[in-house]
Amino acid sequence: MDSHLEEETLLGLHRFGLGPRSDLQYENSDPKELILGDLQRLQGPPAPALKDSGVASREAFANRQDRRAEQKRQRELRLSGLKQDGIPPIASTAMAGTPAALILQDEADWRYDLALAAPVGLQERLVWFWSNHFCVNSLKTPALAGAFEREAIRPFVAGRFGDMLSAVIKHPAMIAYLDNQRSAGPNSETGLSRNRGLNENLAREILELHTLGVEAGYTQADVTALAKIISGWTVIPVQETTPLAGEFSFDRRLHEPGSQTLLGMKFDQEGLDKGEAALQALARSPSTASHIARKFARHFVSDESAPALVDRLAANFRDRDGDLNELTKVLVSSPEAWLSRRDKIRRPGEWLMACCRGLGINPGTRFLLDSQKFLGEPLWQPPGPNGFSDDSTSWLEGIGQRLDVAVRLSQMAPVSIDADAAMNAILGPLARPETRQAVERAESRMQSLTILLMAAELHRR
Amino acid sequence: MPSNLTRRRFGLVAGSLFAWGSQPRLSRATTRDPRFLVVLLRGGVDGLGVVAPIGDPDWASLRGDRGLSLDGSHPAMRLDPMFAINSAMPHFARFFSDRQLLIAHALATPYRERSHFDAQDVLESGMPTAGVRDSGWLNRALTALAPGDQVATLSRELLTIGPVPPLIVRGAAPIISWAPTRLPAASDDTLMRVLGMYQHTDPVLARTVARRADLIQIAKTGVSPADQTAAAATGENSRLGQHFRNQFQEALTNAARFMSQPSGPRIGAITLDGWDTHADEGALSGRLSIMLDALDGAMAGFAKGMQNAWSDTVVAIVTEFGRTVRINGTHGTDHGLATVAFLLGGAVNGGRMMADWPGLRPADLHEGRELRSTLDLRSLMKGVLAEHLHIDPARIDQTVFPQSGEAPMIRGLVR
Repeated sequence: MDSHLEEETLLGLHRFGLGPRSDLQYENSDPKELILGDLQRLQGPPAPALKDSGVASREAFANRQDRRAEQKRQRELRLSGLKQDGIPPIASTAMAGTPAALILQDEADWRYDLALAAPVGLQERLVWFWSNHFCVNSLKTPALAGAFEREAIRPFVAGRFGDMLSAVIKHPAMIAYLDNQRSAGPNSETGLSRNRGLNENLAREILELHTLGVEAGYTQADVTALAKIISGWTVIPVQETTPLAGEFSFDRRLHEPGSQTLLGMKFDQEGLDKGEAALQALARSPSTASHIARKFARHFVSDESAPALVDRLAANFRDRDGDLNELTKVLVSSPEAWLSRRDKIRRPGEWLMACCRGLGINPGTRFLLDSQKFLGEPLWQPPGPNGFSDDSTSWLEGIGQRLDVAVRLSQMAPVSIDADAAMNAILGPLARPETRQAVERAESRMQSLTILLMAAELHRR
Repeated sequence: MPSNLTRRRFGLVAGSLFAWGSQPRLSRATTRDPRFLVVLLRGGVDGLGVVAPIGDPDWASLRGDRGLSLDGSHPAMRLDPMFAINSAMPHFARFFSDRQLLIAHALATPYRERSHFDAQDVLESGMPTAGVRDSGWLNRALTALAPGDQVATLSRELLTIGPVPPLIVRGAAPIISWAPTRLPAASDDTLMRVLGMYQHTDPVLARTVARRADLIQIAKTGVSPADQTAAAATGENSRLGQHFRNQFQEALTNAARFMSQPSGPRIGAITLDGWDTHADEGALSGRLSIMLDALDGAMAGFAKGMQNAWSDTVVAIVTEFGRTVRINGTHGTDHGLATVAFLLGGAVNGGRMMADWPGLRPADLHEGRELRSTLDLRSLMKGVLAEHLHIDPARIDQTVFPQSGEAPMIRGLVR
């Protein structure tokens, strides 16, 4: 493959995928086609051990240990937050062994397996992007975080935004994470009899984070209206002895009766349909299109993306009713998305995958989870509902920490790996002469791999 | 070079060159329970900065005040009329006077290029050329132990410390390894190399990484330790010293812990990194002296940890190549050829230098820049394997060090 084509191919694999796999030859004549071809690739069915979220909830509840472990974990979180420069132990978290922990481990196993095995990894990148956009936190719902990504995000990354939105907001993990399960309309049956009220958390985040974006000009009245519209969107308490315990349900007793006006639109449908209609209206808002377009471009291309690219993405989102397959195609087909200057700092999870795929190693789920945590991006534990930051400066500080992980990874690499060959496969023409030199001048094989994994060209994409 | 010693090409008569000490008694200690540890110093140790030929009239002018000497602020400790050892190694000096340390100089493997990786492969594989990586000579030695011999019965596996078994212990015979459970921090050397890489490729990352290591402080005070204020230098050096002392001590203390046990492994290898001193070598008071101090202390700790088994122990301390005889433009040395090796232990017939000194005049040097080699490392190792571990010399030449006809075995290394 000629050098320019090779450079474009590698650029594409890093920017839109998870980096090249060491054992694959990426012979192709059109890097864009190579990347987009990943959208067509069918995913295998989930590993049989993975449990539906309802099943997971019930199983986790059944084990009373979880509650005690939860307390211990909270305590440990507070303690580990005090360490400034210590290296956290490799040992697993307090929850080890409980059903919820095992479920989470299985889910993480599967997710990493997919990421390591994917030829290109565009689908995985999309799952990770949307999972961060619609994030939940496994600390609140440990048994559900993996299932949430698998059930409400993954099936829709090449589908319709409105469908993903609906699945996400109805998922027990999201309902619990943003406290909607006990939200009661002031005039609902429960609101009146038990003097309970609205919880606006989920409604606010739907408007601010998931759809319109904070600058869209919605008002407090809109937040309240939406909260009323989705009151009753709840989860059957997991303690109840019904086969559907832990699953989503629409509870009329919590629902605020009557029509609501949201963003100047009237919603007066019956029951669940009211909320569904509202969500679809939000999905169709031009503000949502702009918001999503900006985030999409920002995540994949650059913190300050070319206005032409953002406009094109927004227009496509509007015109094609949030068809994410189309949106992705527009992104990958845009010349602005292929700029050779690579500014984005790869997030820790992405960097780990690029390293492992590039070296052809699987260090195991435990190591990957611990490393992500060590590097500031614990899996499914974002700092807030706005997810992990997507701007490069946030991840800059942690680069130094990556050195310790790079040392460990290079220790795990089989002795047959040649750093030069690995560098050619992973970076090829993207590697600058000074990087090549530093790798070649290393004092030992292991050090040469460490230096390769720490190459600036690998931290950026 | 003293006039009563003539230089001879090694290989004519093994043994007769080394006339310093008395003739050793060859003994086969059938009640002995031998231990053998190989310590691999990775990076290419500057042999001339560890043990200097102070008796060579051409030595003083070669390195000026950066070279070891018997005078000055860090006087080297005299070993014999010709050689002196770095002042950072008082324990080694004591081992030498206690006759438990034998120092070989102007020694090299058969490798003649300058790549670390290939040189390490040759050092560890025991092969005459690079590129053969399926097994190490120590592993092959284990399988070559005379069956039924006490040594064979007790030495079931090869010990290695650290998460990655080095090539020298790999092969058909099993390995038993121990590694610290916590995540090891990257070495200062690796950090510096990464920083250097970023300074040319990504200044933003360079600033970030430098902050982590407080290296901005060092950058402000200048590259050369001589330019730093004493306080800053002490601070940085003491941090470096702490780092190496901890690292070396951990490896060797644990090696002793296992090897001294009645049911523990008898033969093993460990690696100690960081010896590639291209810049600011600091043989007198900088980096190299700090590392030698750490090695010195760690080996003393090892000897202590072996307890009664020390009298049955041989440690071979080796490196893949030496360095240039002259200091380079950044106060360091570059890759070279011949260097030192140590045999240390209660079982060693020590208290002597083993060196057919090639001289330091320009014509004496290898390619005009490095110490010439007059001794093949394999000759030394063969002697240990045959007389300490009772491996049949014919088997050694056949399977442990194949194609080593140019490196005849040296006898009398062991008590």
